[in-house]
Parts: sequence; C-alpha cells; structure tokens
Amino acid sequence: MIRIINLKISFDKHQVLDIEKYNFTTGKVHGIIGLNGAGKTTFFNAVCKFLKRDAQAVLINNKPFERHDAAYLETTNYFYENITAQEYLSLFPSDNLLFNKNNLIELLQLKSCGLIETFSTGMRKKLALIAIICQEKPVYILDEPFNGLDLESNKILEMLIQKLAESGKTIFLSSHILSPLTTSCAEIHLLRNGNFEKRFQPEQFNEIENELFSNLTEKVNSILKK
Amino acid sequence: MNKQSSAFEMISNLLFIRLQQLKRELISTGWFYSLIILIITGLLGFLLYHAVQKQIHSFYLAALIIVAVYTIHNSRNDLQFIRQQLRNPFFLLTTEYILLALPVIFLLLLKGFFAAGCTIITGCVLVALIAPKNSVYLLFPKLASWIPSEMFEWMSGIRKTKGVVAVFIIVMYATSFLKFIPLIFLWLITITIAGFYQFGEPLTLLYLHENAKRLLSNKIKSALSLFVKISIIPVLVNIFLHPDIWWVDLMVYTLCLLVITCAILIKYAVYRPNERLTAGSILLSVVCISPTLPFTIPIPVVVAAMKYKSAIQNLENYFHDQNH
Repeated sequence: MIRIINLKISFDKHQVLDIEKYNFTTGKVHGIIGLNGAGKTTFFNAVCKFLKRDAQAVLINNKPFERHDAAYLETTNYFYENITAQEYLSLFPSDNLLFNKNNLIELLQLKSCGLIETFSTGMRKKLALIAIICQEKPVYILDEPFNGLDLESNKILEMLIQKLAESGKTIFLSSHILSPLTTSCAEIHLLRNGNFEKRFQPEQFNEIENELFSNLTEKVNSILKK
Repeated sequence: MNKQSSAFEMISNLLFIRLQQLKRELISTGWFYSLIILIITGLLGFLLYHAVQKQIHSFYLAALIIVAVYTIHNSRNDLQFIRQQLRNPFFLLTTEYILLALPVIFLLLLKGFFAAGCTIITGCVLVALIAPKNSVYLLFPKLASWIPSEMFEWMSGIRKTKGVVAVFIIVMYATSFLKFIPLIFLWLITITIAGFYQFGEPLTLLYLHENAKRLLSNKIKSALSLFVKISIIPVLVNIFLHPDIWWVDLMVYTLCLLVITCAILIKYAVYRPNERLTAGSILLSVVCISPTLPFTIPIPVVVAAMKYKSAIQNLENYFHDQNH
C-alpha cells in the first residue's frame, strides 16, 4: 500500500497540493487525471522527492517512500546535448529482468547511435521511456508517457505497462487523453485543486467524462455569449 | 535603405547586443569578481606590452589569437543561424572576431609590429570564411565513445568542439621535446575541457549520485584522472628533457588540474537543471587565465575553496532529503 498522509506543497504561498489522506494499492496501474494546473506533476514530483516534503507524507508498505523507490518519467524530457541515445542509456542502471535495453531499442525502432538532438519528440520520449522502465524499481511514475508517441508505440507502451503490472510493480500514469488510461489502469483517480476528489474503478470508467465535462457545455455557451 | 547603412546598422546592433550580454554577465558575476577581472585584464595587457619585444614574439601572439578565434568559431552554436538567417554573415562574423582581437591588434600596432597585427586581421577574415563542417570530428569519430559514459560533459563537449581537443593533444605529444610549447597546448586542452561544464544536466542524472558531496567528489575524481591519463606523458617527457624548467611544468600542470576542478565546482555552484549555466562563465575565464600569469596563481585555489562551499549549498537544494 502506498499511503499519502498530509501531503502539502505550496509555491509562493499558493497551495498547489493539499492531500490529507489517500491510499493506492501496490501492484496495480493507477491513472491520475485532472485539468491543467490540478497538481498532477506536482504530486509526482512530491512523491519522488523532487520537491521538498515531509518524510512521512508518503509511505510505501509503511516505510517512508524514498527517491530510489521510483523510476520517474517526467513530462518534458531534457537530454544532455551532443550525446547519443546509447550513451544516454548507459548512464542509467539497467537491472530490470523484464526488459533488455537493446530489445526495447529494436522494438521501439530507436537509432541508438544517433545524436539525441537529431531525434523527433516521439523518439526522445521513447528514449527517456527505455531509460526509465529498464530500471528495477517497485514503483514507476510515468507523467504523460503517451505524449508524442505514434500509434504503434502507444500500443507497445500499453503492453509494456501491463507486463510491469503483471510482475507486481506499481505504476502511476497520467494522460490528457482518457483512452490509454481506461485500457491500462486498474483505478483512475481524479485530482482537482490539489486534492484527490474521486476514485474510479473499471466499471465506473464510463462516468469519468461525465464527471469532468458535465458543466462544460453550459460554461462554453455562457462565455461565448458574453 | 542602402546597403552601406544597413551594414552599419547591423554592426551597431551587434555591438549593442554584445555590450548588453557583457553587462548582464558582469552583473551576475558581482562587483568583486568584476573588479578582479578588470585588474587581471589590465595587468595582462601591461605584461603583453612588455613581453612582446621581438618580431617572432609578435607572430607567436598572433598565432595564439588566431587559434583562439578559430576555437570560438568552431564551437559556437549560432553559426548555422547566422549563415541562414542574417544578411551578410561573413561581414558580421569578421567584424565580431576583429573586435574580439582588437585589444591585441592595437597593442601590436602600438609596438610597431604591423605584420603581426595584419596577420591577426587576415586570420579573422579567413576563420569567418570557414563553413561549419565537422571536419575535425570526422577525423576522430570514435573519440567521444572512448570517454566513460558518466563523463557525459566530456562526450558532449568533444563533439561540440568538433574534436579540436584531440588536435591539441596530438600537437602536445608531438612538441613534448620542446621548451614551453607543450605547456601552451596543455593550457589549450585545459580551457577547452573547462568549457565543457556549462550545461545543467536533468535531475534524473543528478540523482544517480547519493548526495551533493559524493557527486562533487565523483565528478572531480573522474575528470582529473582522465585528464592525467591523456596529458601526463608529454609533461613528464618535457620535465625529463628540460630539467631546468621542471618547476614551471609542475606548476602549470597543477594549475591546469585546479582549473578543471574549478570548472566543475563553478558549474555546480550555479547549477539549475536543464539550463545553460552562464552565471559563472566570467569567473571561469579568470580561472582559465591563471596558468598563464604568475600573479594569478592563487586565484584557482581561492575560487576552488569558495565554490566548493557554494556548490554543496546549491546542490543541497536538490538533494534536500539526503543531507539531514
């Protein structure tokens, strides 16, 4: 169980995250949804300790969640300039027995000898993804991993996520498109105004759109009429 | 608008931009270091004025300036942009390089060494004509792949500078039997390597190290050990063949090691993830000059001591949970 207890993050006196108590079952794929500014990336950064937080605010199996407990794919991936994909990958540990780095390079059709700055957005995303999922960690946090990927790579990523989940790993996923989440996730959590407002089980996934967009038509019409 | 006035406008715009950049750089450096830079520049000019006495000295100086201009030309990343987007790029580049070399050209003309002054101007014109080709890099395509992967700054820097450091290493080995000359190339290698540490890696790479202290010691150890591996032999040969100047070799070598240490410490003192780190570049330039001027010897020692502390403090903001 991953337990969030009193997780508060604020920037310049503006409270971005304020979660009193929330639990995630380990060994499952969790989707995190929310509008822009809801606090998704801040939540991931806080869990991974990229942001300063109370040590006891995030627990995994009743122990403080440390940075080394997670492999974290950030939304925007930065790379050191003038290095090749293979050199970039060699910087990270590759101890996940499920995946072999070279097999993933072949599967995702990556040019391992190419300089990263010559890569497209999708290729860069694939490279960052390989570096993350080849690490052996109990938790994988993938912030918008489907962004920029082509249709085939999207499908491959869904399969890789399933394989990770089958091996007992906990995966956090975020996406602005619902379909990859409803395919991959065991639970989807709605983050709104820095707090988890609702948890959706698979049988409730068709209610998500309703929950998010119920007032949208009214709102759009009223603003456009101004 | 006629051609002449547009060229004049272009030059004045360029000068304005360069002045603004210098102003911002000095502001970020602080008045104390700016004053030191001013003093060093003045003293350097004074020393050069007195050191260049013979025609041959003036040509050595001209050659050094042309190599420096070529290195800048070869490593600048706006070359493609200038050639594609701006009108008359050759004129612009030539002006920029001549302006950069102007203090030395003035000095040479003042001393009556017109030939050397004209050599620098011709050199600047010729350098500006060189297209951004990977010619040197093609000669050493495997060079960067010999570098251990954790030294990504070197890999990146070697490619970015088109492998020019390999040319310096080869010349240093080839001239190791000569007095002082290999030390000039040792210095060129050092300042090229020092320039590699100017981009803040993503946090994911930072967190491959346990804490701030470990990160700094890993970085410094690996950089210095590789630097010693590539440079120690010609220095030892030089000491063996010229025992009368053993102390000069030893002092310059120690200073070069310190310059690389300072480059790493300055980088992490101003580190921000995923950003080009320009805040420490003037200070790094001062440190880089130190092996060439006897009175600046204490500077790298002082900078290393000061910047170690600020690098730890800055990195602790990112390693917050590991240090308490």
